[in-house]
Parts: sequence; C-alpha cells; structure tokens
Amino acid sequence: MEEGSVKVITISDLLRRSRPLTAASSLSLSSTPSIPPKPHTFNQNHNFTSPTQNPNPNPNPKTLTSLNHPTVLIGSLTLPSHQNLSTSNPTSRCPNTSCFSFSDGSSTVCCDILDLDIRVIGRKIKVVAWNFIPLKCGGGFLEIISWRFLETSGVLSSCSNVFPLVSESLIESKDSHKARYSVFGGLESVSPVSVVPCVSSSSVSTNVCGFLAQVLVCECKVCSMKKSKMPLQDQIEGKDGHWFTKPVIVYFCGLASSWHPVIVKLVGSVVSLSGLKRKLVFIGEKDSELMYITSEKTTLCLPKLFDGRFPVSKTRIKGKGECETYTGTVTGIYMQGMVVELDREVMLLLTDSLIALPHSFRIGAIVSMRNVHFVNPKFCWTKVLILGACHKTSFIVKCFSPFATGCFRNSQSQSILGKFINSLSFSARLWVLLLVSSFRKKFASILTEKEVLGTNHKEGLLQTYATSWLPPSVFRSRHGVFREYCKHDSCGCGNEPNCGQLKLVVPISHFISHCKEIWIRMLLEWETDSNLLDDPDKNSHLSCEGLSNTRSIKRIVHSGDMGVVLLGSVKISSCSGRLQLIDATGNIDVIIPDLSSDWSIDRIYEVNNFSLVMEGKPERVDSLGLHTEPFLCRNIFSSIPLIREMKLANYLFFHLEDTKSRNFPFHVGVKNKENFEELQSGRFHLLLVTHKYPEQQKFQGASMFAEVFFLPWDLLLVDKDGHKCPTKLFSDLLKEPMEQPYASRNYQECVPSKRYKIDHPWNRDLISIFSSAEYELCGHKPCCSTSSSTRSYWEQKSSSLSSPPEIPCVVTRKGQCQASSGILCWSKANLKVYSGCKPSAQKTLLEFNSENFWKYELLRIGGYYIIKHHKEDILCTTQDPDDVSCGKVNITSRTPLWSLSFSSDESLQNTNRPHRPTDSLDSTNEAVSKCPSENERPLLNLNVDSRVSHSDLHVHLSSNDASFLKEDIEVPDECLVKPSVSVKESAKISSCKETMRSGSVHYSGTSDLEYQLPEGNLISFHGSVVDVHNSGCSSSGANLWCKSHVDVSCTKFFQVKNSVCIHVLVDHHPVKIVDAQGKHSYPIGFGPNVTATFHRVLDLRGRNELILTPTSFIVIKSIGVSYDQRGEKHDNGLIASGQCNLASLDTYPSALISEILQCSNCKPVQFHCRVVAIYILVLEDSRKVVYPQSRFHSWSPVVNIPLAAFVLDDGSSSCCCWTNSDNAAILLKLHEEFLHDNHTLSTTGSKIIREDEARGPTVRQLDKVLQKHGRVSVKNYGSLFDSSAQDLIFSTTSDTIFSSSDEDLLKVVILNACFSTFWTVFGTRMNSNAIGKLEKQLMEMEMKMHPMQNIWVREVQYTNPLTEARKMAQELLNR
Amino acid sequence: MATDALYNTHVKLLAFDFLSLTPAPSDPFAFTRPSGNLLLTRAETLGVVTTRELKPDRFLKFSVDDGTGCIPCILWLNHLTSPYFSRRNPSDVRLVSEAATRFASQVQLGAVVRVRGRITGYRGAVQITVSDVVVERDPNVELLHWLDCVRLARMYAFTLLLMCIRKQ
Repeated sequence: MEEGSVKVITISDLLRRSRPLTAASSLSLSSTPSIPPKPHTFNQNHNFTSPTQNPNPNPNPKTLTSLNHPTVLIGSLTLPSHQNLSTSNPTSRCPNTSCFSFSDGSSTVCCDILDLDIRVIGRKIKVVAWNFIPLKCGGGFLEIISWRFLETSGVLSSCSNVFPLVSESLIESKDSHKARYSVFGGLESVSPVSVVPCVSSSSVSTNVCGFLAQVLVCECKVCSMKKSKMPLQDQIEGKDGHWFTKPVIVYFCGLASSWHPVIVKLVGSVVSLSGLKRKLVFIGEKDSELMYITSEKTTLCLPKLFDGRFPVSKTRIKGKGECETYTGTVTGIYMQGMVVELDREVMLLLTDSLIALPHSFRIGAIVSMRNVHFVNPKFCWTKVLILGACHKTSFIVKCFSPFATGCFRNSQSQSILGKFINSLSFSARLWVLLLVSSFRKKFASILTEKEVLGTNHKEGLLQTYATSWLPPSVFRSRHGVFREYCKHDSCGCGNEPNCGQLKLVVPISHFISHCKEIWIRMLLEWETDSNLLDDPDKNSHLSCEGLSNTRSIKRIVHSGDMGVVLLGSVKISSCSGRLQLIDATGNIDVIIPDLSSDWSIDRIYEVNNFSLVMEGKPERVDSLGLHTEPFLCRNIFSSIPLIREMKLANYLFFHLEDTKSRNFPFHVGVKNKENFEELQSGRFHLLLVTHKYPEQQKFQGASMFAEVFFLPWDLLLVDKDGHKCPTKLFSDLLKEPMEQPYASRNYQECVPSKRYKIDHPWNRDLISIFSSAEYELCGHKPCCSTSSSTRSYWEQKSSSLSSPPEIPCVVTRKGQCQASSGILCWSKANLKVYSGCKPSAQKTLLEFNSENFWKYELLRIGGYYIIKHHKEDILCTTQDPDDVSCGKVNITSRTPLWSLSFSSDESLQNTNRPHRPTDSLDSTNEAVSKCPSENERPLLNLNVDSRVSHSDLHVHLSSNDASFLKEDIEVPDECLVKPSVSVKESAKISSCKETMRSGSVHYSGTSDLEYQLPEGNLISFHGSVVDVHNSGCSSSGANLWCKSHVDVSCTKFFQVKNSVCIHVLVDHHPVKIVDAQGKHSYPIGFGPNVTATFHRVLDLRGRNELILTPTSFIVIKSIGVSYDQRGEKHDNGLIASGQCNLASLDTYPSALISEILQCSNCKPVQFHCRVVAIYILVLEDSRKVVYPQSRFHSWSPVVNIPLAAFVLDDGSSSCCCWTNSDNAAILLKLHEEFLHDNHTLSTTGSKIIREDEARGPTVRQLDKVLQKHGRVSVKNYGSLFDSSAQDLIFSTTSDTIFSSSDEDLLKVVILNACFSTFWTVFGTRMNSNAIGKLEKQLMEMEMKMHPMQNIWVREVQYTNPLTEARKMAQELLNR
Repeated sequence: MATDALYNTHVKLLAFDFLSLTPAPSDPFAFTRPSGNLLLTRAETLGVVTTRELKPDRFLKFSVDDGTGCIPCILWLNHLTSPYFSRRNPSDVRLVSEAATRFASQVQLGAVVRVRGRITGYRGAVQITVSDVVVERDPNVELLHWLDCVRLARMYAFTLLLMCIRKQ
C-alpha cells in the first residue's frame, strides 16, 4: 500500500461514479494539479506543412475533472481474449478486439497504455497517472499514463525481453517440430483482426481469429540461415549491418491473435519472432501466399540493440494515395467515428468495419497513424487533406486527451450504403459521407431516414444520387482482408482517381451562411481599396429631393465558382408569398424564368447551374464572423454558428429545365397529381390574364387574385390518335381539307428527348396578329367598335354560316410530339346570345387560395390559358354573360389551368409585322427602353422574363381562321394598358381611362373631403430601374411630393410612414415612382439595374410622378449586375436626379497631368497618357481571392493584382499612378491575350468569353509562376523615365527560388506594358491621408513613396482617337 | 517653375518645332527650344515612316514625317555587343535587345509609328534615340497627335511664361 495519503481506488468504484476523471499519485507532491500535458500539434514523418492554428480551436474546452487527492489503481493489464472469437470481448462487452483490459479484481475495463513495456502484460502494476472515461453502455475506459511494477526489482531483473505468445498452460503440443522458423526484421504494418471460418479435421467448423503482420527481413547470410547454430539472441545482436528490405507476412492466429494491440504498438520497431511455421495460405480463390504462422511455441523478442526505429524510405507525398505516417491532434470525430478530423484540416476516414477506432482517439488526443493513404481530393469547394485508412493502417495514441471528451464505439452497419461507401476511392468516400450528413439535415422532416439512407436490402435516395454523380473510376472491388493486405499495392487503394469534379451538396442554411461570408469578404476588400483611395464618397450616394441615400451593391456569383449543388423543393413561401427553394434547414428566394405547369411542389429539384445574386447596402463590417466557412467538411458534418443578421438580399436564378446542367427533379416525394390526363379531351374555356394583383401584406396566407378575361371561345379537344408525320410541313398540313383531320399529323419535327419549344416565329407572329391591330376602346359594349374591314369579314363569315362558327385547329400538348385535332367554338354563354353579332370577352377575377399560390405564380400577364368546362362553373350557370364580369372564380386544386399558345401559317408571310409593345405574349421583341449608359457599358444580364414558351398546349390555326379569331380574342384596352411611349406625356395617354375608384381594388374611402381618393390614370410602362430607396423621411418626405390640396389628401389616405422611391429610366427619361406606404410586395430581385414592366401605376394628374398602388404589379424582365458597382456611382446618381440623361465616365473633366498636379482639389479627372515604367507591382494567385471572377478580375481570372504603381507620361509631365485589380491588369495589357477586339474594352465591360479559350500563353505561364510562388513583388530601383533602364528586383513570399525564366517572363510583361499605346485614365490626385496609408503599406514592403505626384486610378480605357480628337478640337476652339 | 519642369517628360513636339531644338549650354544631355530655356531630354513623335536605313546588328535609322517635317530617329540594335550595356544585367540587355529587333522589324516605310526616346544630337542635327516604337493602325491617331501637340505647345508656352514671371 502506498505511503502517506495516497489512496487506492477500485475499478468498480470508478464505474459506479461513472464520471470522466483524471488522477495521479503525485498530486500531493506538486502544487499544481497533475493534468496530462496539453496536446500540441506536431507533424512528423510527412511532407505537409504544419496546419495553421485556428484562433478558436475548441469553443468549450473542458478538461477532465481531477480527483482532489493522490489516487492510484492497482491491478493487472491483460491482452484481449480471442478464444471465443465469434463473440466480442466478454469482459468489457467491447466489440473492439484490439483493446487491452485492466482488472483489479473488482471489475474489468478496456484500457490503453502509453509507452508500452511488454513486461507489463499479466503483471500486477500500480497505475500512478490515469484518465477514466465512462462508456455509454455501462463500462468504462482507462487510459494509463504512467505506472510502476508492484514486484521488487529482483523479480523484474529476471524478466527477459523474450515473450512467448501463448501461455505455457494453454499449449497443446501437436506438430511442434514444424515450428522451426524465425523472422527477424522491421515490423512494417499490421492488419486488423479478422475471423476466418475454418473446418478442422473433425469436421467441426470453428472460427480462426487472427491478423497479418508484414515484416521486412534482412537477406544477409546470417539471417538467411535456416537453422542457426547460434542462439537467436546472439545472432541478432552479433551483427549490426542488417538491411531490412524483403517483406514477409506473419499470420498471428489462434491464441496469438490476442497480441494484436501489442503488435500494433510495435509497428516501426525491429522484432524477432521464432517458433514459426511456414505455410501456403490461400488469400483468394486462386492466389496463395507463403506465410509464417504463429504456433504455440512462438516467442516474440525485442532486440535491445534495435531499440529505435528501423530506417524506412520516405515517400514524396503528392496527395495521390501515397502510404505514409501522420501525427496530429484529434479535433473532431464525426459520423459515428467514420471520420476523424485532425488538426482541423485533415480528415481521417475509417469507414471499414474491420478498422476499429481505438477508444483513446478522443478529441484532444495526439495520435499517430502509420501506413495511412494521403489523398488530396482537390475539391473545388474546399481545401482538405484526406487520410485514408486501409487494412495496413495502424493507430497509436501518443498523448491522451486532457479533455473530458467521450470515446467512440464503432457501430458501422453493413447496410447497402455502408458497402457502397467502402467500394469507393477515399475522396469519393468523403464526398458520400458529406452527402449523408447533408441529406440527413436537408430532408430531416421531409423524408424518412430509411428513404434517404436506404436499408440493408434497399438503396436509398442518397445512394441513387451519389451513383448518378460518381465516375466509374472511383469504384473499387473489395477482396477481403487477406488479399487486400498481401496484395496491397495491386488492390488500388494507393492509386487515387481525381474527384475534383464532385460538387458539394449543401444544406440551404450553410449556403446562406456562405453567402453572408462572401458578402463580408467583399465588403472588407472593398473597404480596404476605398481606404487606400481615401475616398470619403466611397459609398455611392444617390441624391433624391435633396436627400442622400446610399446605393445598394449587387454581386453575382455563379455556381461553377462555388462548386456546390442545391437540392430542395420549389415552393411558394406561405410567409412571404415568394418562390423559394426549400429544405429542412432553410430557404432561399429563387427566380425561375421557365417555371411551367410541370412544376410540382412535391418534387425535390437538383439545382446545379445557378447564379447567386446578393444585394445589399454597404455597411461597416468586421472580420469577426469570417471563420465559419460553412463549406468546410467539419461544418457540413456538424453545424455552423450563426452569422449575425445582415441587410443582405440573396436569391438564386436558374432555369428549371436546364437538363444539360442537371437542374431537374430527381426525386418525387409524393406522387405528383398529373392533371394532364384531363387535358386529353373535353371542352375548355379560353381566358386571357390581364392583371395580377400583388400579394397584400396584411392578408398574408389569404388569397391571391388575378384578373382575367374569359374569351368568347371554347376549345374542344378530342382524344388524340395521331401518328407521326415528321416530314410534312405544318403550313402544308393546314392546307389540307378539313375532312382529313389534323389528328393524323404531326406538325412539327419533334425529337422526343428534346424540350418542346414553342417560341417559334409562327407563334410569335400569330400573337402579333392578335395584338398588333389598332385597338380602340370598347369597354363593355361589344360589337360596336370593330373596324370596317373586320366587320365585313365577320358579317361575311356569319352570314355564310347557319350555325355558330367553328374553327378547326391542330393541338399539340407539351412533351408530346403527336398532334391531335381540336375545335375552337363559341362558348356556351355566347351561344345564348348568338345573333350574328360579335361575342364579347368577360372580365372575371380568379381567386387562388394558399394551396394554389403556385398556380398564381405560373400565370403571366398577357398569357392565354384554358380551364376545363364544368356544368356548374360560373360561365355556364350565369344567364346573362355580363354578370360574369363582376364574378369571381375560385381556383382550387381541382381546377387546373393550362397555358396556351397560338401559331398560324400566316405568320410565315408576316415576319416583319411590327409588334405591339404590350405586356401580352408578344413582348419578346419589344424594345424595352434602356439607359443609354447601360448600352454603352453593358451589364451582365439575367434574363428573368425568358420567353422560351413552355405552354402546355399549342394551337395552330390556318391563316384565315387566325385572322377571324383575332377579332374575338382581343381584349379591352382598359385591361392591357399600353405602355406609355413617353412618360413625360403620360397625361396624354388616352388608352387608360380607369381611375383608382373604378379600379378593381376598391379603397374604403369615405365622402369626407379629407379622405378624398387620389385620382389619375393607371398606366403601364417598361423601364430600367436606376435606384430604389427608402425616402426615410416620414412626413417631411411626404410633403416633398404632396404639396397640392389633392396631395395633402393623398398623404392622409396613404398614411405615409416610410415611402419608397423608385427611379426608373423610361425611354431615357427619368421617372420617379413612389410607393407611399413602403409596403408593396416587390418581386424577387427587384432593385437597381433591373428592367421591369410596371403595371397599373397611378399617374397623378399634372405631376411628373407616379404612385405605386396596392394593385400595381411589377414584372421583372431582366436583372443586370455590373462588374464594378463603384464605377456606376458617377453616373447613375445624376441620371436619377434628373440632372443628366446620358452620364458616363466622360463626365470627368479632361486635364493634363501637369494641371492635375497644380490643382488644389482632389476631384476625379481623365487624362490620356502612356506607361513609361513601373514603380512597384504585386501579383498574386487569384485563387486565393474569394470568387475573383465575380469581382473585378474579369479579364485576368488567374492573376490578382493587389497593388501596382505605374509611371505615366502624357507629354506635359509624369506621375505615379496607383491602382489594383483590373485596372492594373489592363495597364499590363494582360487582357490583350484574352480579347481580339479591344475597341469595346473597359473595366466595367462584360465581354463574356470562355475562360479556356481566353487565356493566352503568357497568362498561362504567369499563372504557373504565381501558382508556384503565390505572391510576387516587383520593385523598380532603376529609371522611372526610361522603360529600357528599369532595374527590376523580384521577391516572393514562398521559399521556392525565383528562377531566371520566371524573372524573364515578368520582365517581358512589364516591358510590354511600357510599349503600349494611349490610355485614357480616370483618376484622382491622392491626398496626404491616402499617401500616408500607402506609405504604411510600402514600408511593410521595404519601399518608399517616390517624390513624384501620386494619382489613384479609378478606371482605365483604351482611347478612341477619333472621339478624343473631336473633343480636343472642341476644347482648343473654346479656349 | 524650374527650367527642368519637363526634363524627364516625353515632350510631344511637331517636327518643325522639334527640329528647331538646340543643345542646352547648361546640360550636355538636354536641348532647348529657341523660344526659351526649358530643358528637354525626351520626346515622343508620331507619323509616317518615310526613310529607313538598316545596319543589321548595329542600328536602324529612319525618319518620321508628321506632316510638318521629318524627325530623324535612330534605333540601336547593338545591345549585345556594345560596351555601353556591359554593366547592365545581361538578361535585361537581352530583353531590351529583343524588343529593339522587334521594333526594327515593325518600322516599315509607310507605317504610322509612335516613337518615344531620348533627344540626341548627331552631326549638328537633332534626332530621337528610340526607346520604343508602337505601330498605330488607326489613322485618326495622327489627328489626335497634332491636336495634342497644339494643346501641349500652349502648355509649354504657359510653363515658359510662368517661369519668366517667377524669374522677374
């Protein structure tokens, strides 16, 4: 018993306490508690650099509770019992067959020991420092840090270093004479313990448990002797010149297999085994291997002279599956122990059920892995190193974790998914494991676990998805432990295929966090740039009515840059009424231009190809929230901390049927109700959508409304019985007599696999026929205002018919190539009033309840739709057709709507017919007025209003019938309001006579004069949104636009609180629209640079202002995103304030450099100059920048230029011009290799070219140089006025040598820049503050500011000599 | 305003003006205009190549006609052999030499070239020792150059005026 106050604690006591504890006997001797040394990160024996220390590695590091008195454990360490190998270790109920046991008589627990001395096995020891971790299933785990023998030193000295593997009492001597072989060499690797079914001579089947070990033996003469006369010990120690090169396999089977935990700890040591048998062992059906097999006489010897490691050749790690050793700290364990994170950036994969994770692999432990495969998967979304564990891998804990973290117990099930994962290469395994984690989060409440992961017999959704993405090269066939161990190199786990193309499926919550992180990074980068410029006006401000507003910034990131895939359902949000992509973790707004009736809210869509648009006001950000990195593997496996709320709007833009990029539904959760069966035959009412009422915020979750006109024609469909006729022309088909029904014809050459396009000239032109006629107001009085020509046609037609006219047509359904016949006939309601007079359309409201919001979403203003006729429907029950105009039709799930499109063969002859620029279907070709500056400096446009038609039904008519029909399906103009040609003259627009009071939505006004409703015309128009901002001026803001008596009343009416101003350019004229209440439901993506149609906006009489009413509806046509928002601020502010119609960078005054230097202010100017030399140039690999393509590096996608100074000369003087990013790339002429046509070049241009064809040879070489060195700085210590006398000095951040060829390449680039033509530079003279900041930066680079004048370059453009000459001539004449 | 206000600037002078330059008595590397003592060392001109005389690996002499006169230019091609460059970094010399050879090939009769270099004297006449040549393809650049020269001439005159005022 220990002297003093040291207590002995029993295992049963520890188990009873069931708490994680640490203790040491030295506690009383030391003033500080004895806590195991803090884990520290170290890497050895591998070529990877030490990972960067994360500032916050463990948010809650709880160290193990220490017992407050010195405590020891007394017991003995034993090997695992493998006698009954079909069952697990009975003593500890631990399934791990490689665990030591510690028993003190009271109980037995699993244990692990540091610095194993084999003599300890079976002897009584005193454990003086230990950790105890309770295991969930009742047991516990003991970590023995230090121990002492209880026996006296005399007993110990008698212990030799030769250990029999099988206890003498268990020996049954049979063929002991065969056990005459010995193996002496370096232990290279050990396999996991496996069980082999075996049939013994007595035909009783038994299981043989064992493991394989590979020993590299020496082939020298002494070692090669079969029977050495010398004793083994002498043989080993008598010679020191051994070369361990020849691999032999030793099979530790039977009772010897219990030595597995010992042998694992000896990997890397020199061992000697004697008393071995030699046998040929089958390792597969045909293959056999000569092995040494342990016998009951086998002994293990650890030669004293070979105490250290045997020398091994180091492999050069390329990350392609090389086998090496890795040591690091466990920082996370995920997926039930299948993934272990080391050093926060290395992922150890332990998917194989045989490879058990030791209990001591707790978070915080320092562990070493031998023979682990190093794989760099090169995933595009994250940087990670994979360590792949195979059957040769062994694990040793170097230092136990001081943290109270739990042990993992392997419980890999052998489900189909488990087998599938194990059949993959390591990088694919990690990808699938990430997929598992992601899918479980995404579909937590949508699908069951079994549906997602599958069962033991059935594949789940996840496996189906993974299989569809994985290339065949990642699949490996598995061969069992023996074969894979013995033929390791030929089994393929050391040869890793490239999986860089695999995209990460992210939960939407992670995606949104990622968006925020990109946004913060962009703002930070922008702030850095602006700080350097010292621009007080760095945030673009828009002046509106004397009030300044910060403009929002918009950025776009393409999915290709992120390397992620989004999965989710596309639904209408019940809260916002917006279209969203939803999964169990979150939702994000989406714009889907090609949304069609195929869309099902029950489907799960895979969105591969999308554009992420982020829009928000610039705000001050810090880098505190920047360490979430939602796409990191550990964050996918676990959860991510929330980033604070930001004023940021995110939305996605994608096409749903973009089959090339796999944006398609891949899973149907609930069977989609196919309404298309109903479309096969029957009578359908034809309707035209004239207006959609936006969602009213206070009626959330209530109903949505659309105004439609039921046209006086019904469509009769007969069952299709068509046959393919792909060669016949459609026009020919219609010329055939009616007796031959069109049903037998296919009017278009259809390829079944190809999406059916109806955006055909025929279609467009028919619609133009319908709509291009001169409209006249007819109100609710039909048959009064038809033109004489049409009337005569009508009279002719009606007089020639004794019955109501019927128009035969050919009908094609979406997705079907076979055409069928149909008939357009008068509607039932009109039949009642048929008397040779033209029938009328009837205005009705469609009401959509929340379950059918998706149908509302599909409706397009100006689109034709059909609705199935029911006896009880409103059209057929009303006696007086005029009554319907006041009616309302409830659209329920049982009343499907199908979209309809028309075409006629006449259109072929009328291709040049002018189009009526309305919001009807033909608006494809309408000339939407664009901001002139927008035309000059094109934006990247997302075409929201994709007019690739996706109508469910296509109706083709003969030309005669089409012209007959067009008269009847035209709609009163009061509904399809013409866009104003000139908003300035909006008061003159006579097409709209509807006032607010007679509008469809009635305000609850009173007769009180104070609450008089504002009056004016409702107009519709297209325009380019310049800015949208809150007036933020409550009553004062209201007063600004409500000055007259009427205005005062409207102020009261609208209860102005926080109105929204929308500045729109319509035909180059600035127009201001006011959303008085600021509560309008704007469509997703609405904001600056959007081209939109504004429907039913109230034009107050006599004022050049428009009011957005609750009935106004905005349809976005396209969304523009400029590459450099900063460039825009110079013009749009002026445009919006009406001061300037055509502003651009030309608004900067031109000057000579000498004049800028004399000028006292720092206003931006433009000047023409040439590059003479560089002063400083910093180049870096743009892959280090967050999505460089989405930022400013449109021309040099591989090169980022954080800082550059060029000496420019314009003939009047020289100056030092500082710039970065694109402007620097332009001055270096890096883009010239990208573009052949350089006339339209500017930094804000959007010339889109394919990246692969864009990169020239120099840029490719530059790319290589930057890849090698990361960041290169070039400083000119020579002449700044003579390009050929520059003295360029190069420096890099990397340790690699900057070769002369690399130098030459950069010198050529710089010289080439100096031999350039004229540039037009837009810049500002830097003030002392900016220069001070720059000096600081230069000081870090050991450079000084040159005493030349310094100018910050905002933009660089090629000079157009003719334009400039004209301007200069004008200037000279004016002076 | 010092006399060296334009010392390191590539001044743009029309040929008639350029040809009137005389060596500055105060500075062996500088030239001055008859109208004042502004020191000029570098110039830029633009015009049509009207004469061309090549001595391979030694020099290319050519003249640039800008419509007001012809400016003689010399482009040295002897970088690799001249002792003048022997102290410079060999790789720099090689690159400059390669560039000069490329310029020489571009300077062809009839081509519109933009030439930049040092103002030097040779046998009593002024010329440009070329540092770089850019072949211009847009004929409008000549027009722009003329106007630029006119604008700059005003600026040079103004600089001179300022200089005189300050002197007084």
